[in-house]
Amino acid sequence: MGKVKSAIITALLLAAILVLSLFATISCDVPGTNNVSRYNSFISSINLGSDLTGEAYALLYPEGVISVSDYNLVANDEGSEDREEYIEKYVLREGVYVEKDKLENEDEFVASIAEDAKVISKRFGDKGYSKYSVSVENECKFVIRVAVPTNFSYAAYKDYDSGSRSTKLTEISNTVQVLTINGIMSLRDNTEYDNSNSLININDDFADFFSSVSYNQFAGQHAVQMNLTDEGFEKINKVLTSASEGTAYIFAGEQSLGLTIELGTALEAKTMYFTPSASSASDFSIVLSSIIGGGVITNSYNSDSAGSGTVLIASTSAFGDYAAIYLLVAVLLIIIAQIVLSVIKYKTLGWVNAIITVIYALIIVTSLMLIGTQLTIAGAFTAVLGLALLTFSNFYVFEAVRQQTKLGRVISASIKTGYKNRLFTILDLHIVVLVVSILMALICVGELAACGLILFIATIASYTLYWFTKFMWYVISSLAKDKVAFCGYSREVFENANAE
Amino acid sequence: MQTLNNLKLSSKMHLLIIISSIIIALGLAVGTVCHFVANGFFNYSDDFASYKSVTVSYEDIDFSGSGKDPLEPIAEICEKAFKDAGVASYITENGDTTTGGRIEYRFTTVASDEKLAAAVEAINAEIKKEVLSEGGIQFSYASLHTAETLLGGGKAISMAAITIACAVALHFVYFIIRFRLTMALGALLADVHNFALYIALLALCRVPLGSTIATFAVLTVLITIIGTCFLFDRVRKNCKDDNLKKLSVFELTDKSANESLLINTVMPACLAALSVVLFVLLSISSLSPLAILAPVLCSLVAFVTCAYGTAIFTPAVYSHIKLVGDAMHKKSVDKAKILSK
Repeated sequence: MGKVKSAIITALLLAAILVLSLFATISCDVPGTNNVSRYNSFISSINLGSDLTGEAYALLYPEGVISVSDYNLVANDEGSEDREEYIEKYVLREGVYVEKDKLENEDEFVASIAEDAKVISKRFGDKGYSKYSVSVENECKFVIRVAVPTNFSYAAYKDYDSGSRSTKLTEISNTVQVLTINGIMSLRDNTEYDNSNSLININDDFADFFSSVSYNQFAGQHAVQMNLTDEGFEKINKVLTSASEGTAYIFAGEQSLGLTIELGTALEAKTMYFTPSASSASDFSIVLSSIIGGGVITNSYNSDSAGSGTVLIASTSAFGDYAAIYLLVAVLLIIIAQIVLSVIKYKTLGWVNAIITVIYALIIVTSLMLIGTQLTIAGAFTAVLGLALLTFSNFYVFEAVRQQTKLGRVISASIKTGYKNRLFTILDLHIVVLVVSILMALICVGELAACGLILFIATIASYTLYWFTKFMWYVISSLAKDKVAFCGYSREVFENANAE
Repeated sequence: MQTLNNLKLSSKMHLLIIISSIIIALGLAVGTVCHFVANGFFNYSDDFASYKSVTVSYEDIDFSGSGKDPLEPIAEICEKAFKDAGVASYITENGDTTTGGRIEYRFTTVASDEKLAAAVEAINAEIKKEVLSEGGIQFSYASLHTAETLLGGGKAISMAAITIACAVALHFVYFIIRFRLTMALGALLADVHNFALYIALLALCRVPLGSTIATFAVLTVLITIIGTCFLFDRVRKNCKDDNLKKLSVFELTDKSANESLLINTVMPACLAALSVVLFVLLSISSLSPLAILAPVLCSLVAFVTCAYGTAIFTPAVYSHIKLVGDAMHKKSVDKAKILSK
């Protein structure tokens, strides 16, 4: 390759890396917007796990139980009309106020809350969070605590991106409300529960009409797929054709999910698709699937009648406010150490490896931002493992090329033979790791599934960049006069032969 | 990679097997005993197990004139009360509500109820005093809870176990196809040994473990797979080399192990270095050092296990597997020759 051509390619590549690096790392106020708009870098837009940005948790009070603060708001307000009623109605039990009526059958009430917690836990498990917990407090068995990752990016966590922060908290809040819906499924003739009648025969359970419910996502469309049983298909068609016109609404408990079926027309297939909003489709399918599988919640949680809405509390990470920054610093130190090592060992060729490392880091950061995968500390380790895979693949082939140069071959022939010798080793390595990453992404749940996806991206990036290293080696070494010295190699045999 | 040294690993096989067996047996024994008499095979943290917590909820705080962050005085009161009562929390969480906030201190289930109750009483008394003295806190309440976590890491563990089993099986089958049966057996041995050693060491150290244990178990197997790819690639290449064919099985394996030693030790060492750096940095900011200790320890154990298992233990045992395999192969070739005659 000619020197001019080589210099142009190198300059263009470095410029592209520089520009992308700036966009990836620098967040700033957008000039000319009077500090109203802010550009958040790729890295600060990556969704982070609960170990880096904390978790959001909600306390679920069943009907008949309210928090001390809810009680005090009324009981301490001497002007409140409900004050006397509250003082009469509630009694303090280990941190919460419980209706005296509920305490008459306390064991039964507590057992129902414990059963509800199991159903809620199963529903949150199906949501696929990287980490979550559902717990019942033993000494105060009236409250369920649900904790999920906030899924904040660093910008949202630090409130630089308050829009994204509130959107994510609203999403979690909606999910908590949907996944804690109590009651069975029904098909009704009005969207208001109190003004509606069930369209299903009193002897039938609407949930038995369905064999399964699943969530489908394709080409930007989000759908709830409901599969009818043979019997359910016949029965629902009977219901639909018995009315001439109108709309039927699917309810979970007393809440209409907004999933509607036109009356007057029989269904043609045993599968029904509904397309609610993207954020609701997954939650609805989980709740309906849970009810069909017998997971019915008996108590109503944080209902208005209890006087306590679902308050979401976004807590700080147990690792501290700056855990994400420290993780970034630690990863940067490893990258710098790797670059220093490669430069010491391979001289200018080490800088080629350094460029490849920076490209790898940019690919990972950009992919994480675009895909929206949650990054946790374990995820960062997985990304570093991918970097190790790339670095050692390169070092492995650099050594193979070194061996060839020692035999007296010119550098271009050495590179060709070195890469040929290591072709199957590197291929085997990447194939095995790629398949394991697919297994992780598909079989595992939560954090491990996210790690699987990161490893998948890292392995593909590693293999692609392995070959890109060869291209860059050719390009950049074209500028060097002594190509052997460029790589930090020595041609011992050749030199010995000259000496002889 | 370059040969770093001339370790005679094959001759150390018996010693290495004894070391590994002792650690694994001890770990399994301690884990099994703890499973029946303590809190489980591992010392599970709140991801899996129950915990006790002291929660302080506060509302409408206005420390007007004091210039203090509302959380700070409450946290100070709590920490002093816990210190006086002789209990230590392992995780602290705090968050804001629309009208106030909530701070939660978590304790292991072995923490004394009496001591925690005394701390709660002291906190409530102190907060009451604060209200009177500063007139700031309109409402605040500390309470003691014991929580039973229903699910956090349970499903993650079972799914990770399935993934590990699939990965090990895949590794074995791939090596039979692309390498040789003896090498596939060596790879299988490396996977099983490293995984068992990782489990045993974590069972021995009894640090409260979260769901990260599953993640690093999978990473252990993954690093082992990468390491064996490099190790057995060297063995495969050296077996094909006419000059090296003359070497004995032990010499050839030792040479291959030495050639791949650098990769198989430096790669886990890089990840271990990341763990150590993270531990140092996060120790500065972490609200509770125990919270960061568990994942860092998990990772360190995983990477040390991988370095030892793949670079040292596996070549030593593989050399003997290869010896038996080669003998059997020679026997079958001789038999075939006799039959063909």
